[in-house]
Amino acid sequence: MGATVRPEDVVNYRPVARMIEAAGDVPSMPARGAMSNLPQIAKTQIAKFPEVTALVVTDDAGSLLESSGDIDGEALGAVHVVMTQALTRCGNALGLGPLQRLTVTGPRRACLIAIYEQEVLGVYVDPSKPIGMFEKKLDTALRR
Amino acid sequence: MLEPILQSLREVEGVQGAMVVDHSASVVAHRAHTIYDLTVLQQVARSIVSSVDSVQLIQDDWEMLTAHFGDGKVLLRSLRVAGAKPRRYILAVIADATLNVAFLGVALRVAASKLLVELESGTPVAAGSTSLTGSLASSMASGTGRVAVSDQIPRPEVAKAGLSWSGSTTGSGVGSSDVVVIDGASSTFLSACTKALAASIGPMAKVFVKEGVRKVCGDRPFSRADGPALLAHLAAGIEDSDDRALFQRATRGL
Repeated sequence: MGATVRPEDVVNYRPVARMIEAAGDVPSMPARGAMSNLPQIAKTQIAKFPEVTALVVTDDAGSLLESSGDIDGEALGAVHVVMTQALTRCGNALGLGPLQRLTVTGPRRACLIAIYEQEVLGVYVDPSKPIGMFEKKLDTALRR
Repeated sequence: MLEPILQSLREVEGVQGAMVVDHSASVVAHRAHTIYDLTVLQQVARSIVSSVDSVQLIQDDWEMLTAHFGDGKVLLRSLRVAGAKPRRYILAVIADATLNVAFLGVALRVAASKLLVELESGTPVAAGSTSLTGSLASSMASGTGRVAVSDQIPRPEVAKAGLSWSGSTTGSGVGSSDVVVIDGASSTFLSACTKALAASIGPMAKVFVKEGVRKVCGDRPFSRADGPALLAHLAAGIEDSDDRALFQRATRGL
């Protein structure tokens, strides 16, 4: 009795620790997978993957940094940022920690959106290809 | 009843909660770990609907959304209820880091089909469900800090006008450059209109202008003559009266 148990010391209480973090009582964890030049990597490496049909990189305010493929990068980039903001709030409420990436799949499109520090990468891939494989490939390209 | 179906998802290792949310962010049914009480789930439902509203702007026929967080995952599955009055629900699953997504995938498919049967048969909304509003405009407000939208106020007019996610539109809006203009003057008009709207709602302005053009013109190309109708349509979608006045002033000379 009397010993102080910090929530982050108890693995099973991790979601609770995250909820406390979200409330501002515990300093936030540092962001994973720091990237220095995402637009450059996107343009020179990711855009050349055969599955990729289009990609867009924006900053966290939705400003376009890089775009390739037949898409409206400016509009899509803004939508990606709004989407990630909403899901970040969702993760904070649930104590799940920072949003790292999300995938959206459907019959006509598959999209992967990843967050790196202050930048948001949205990649559109061929929906007939397994997106799980592509996620691993992307992780490798980004050296996570 | 929907709850037993959600309970079957809870039995998958790593799943901490499951709920069904309707388009207005009401929690229709839920089964979750006690740390996720109804208040938390309602807050989550609102964020989920905001994100889905955005998803539908780029992919209105989306089926699955998987969000990976540092310590867990949230999976959303679209449930489209057919019939005389089509409706859209979202099945949301909250999971910790131990979840095997492939295992859940099977359970999710089974649960989704059972839920659709129940929802199509008109299962009443759970007594504990709560109507929440705000949606995309809330997320836009928090993202840009420019539009003041309270959690308690009704869904903004932009949503009511079906500019984005109502589900009745066909085709994905912003995924391709599908706004056709009749001449250069019309294009200039749309650019100026977008710039004026951006002062009120931020980077989503272009999306709403495109949706507005689609609403006003249908399949025909946009012409300068459609300008007043478009401006009126966009102005009606700005809930904050100051922002609306700002937009109207900025576009008066167009």
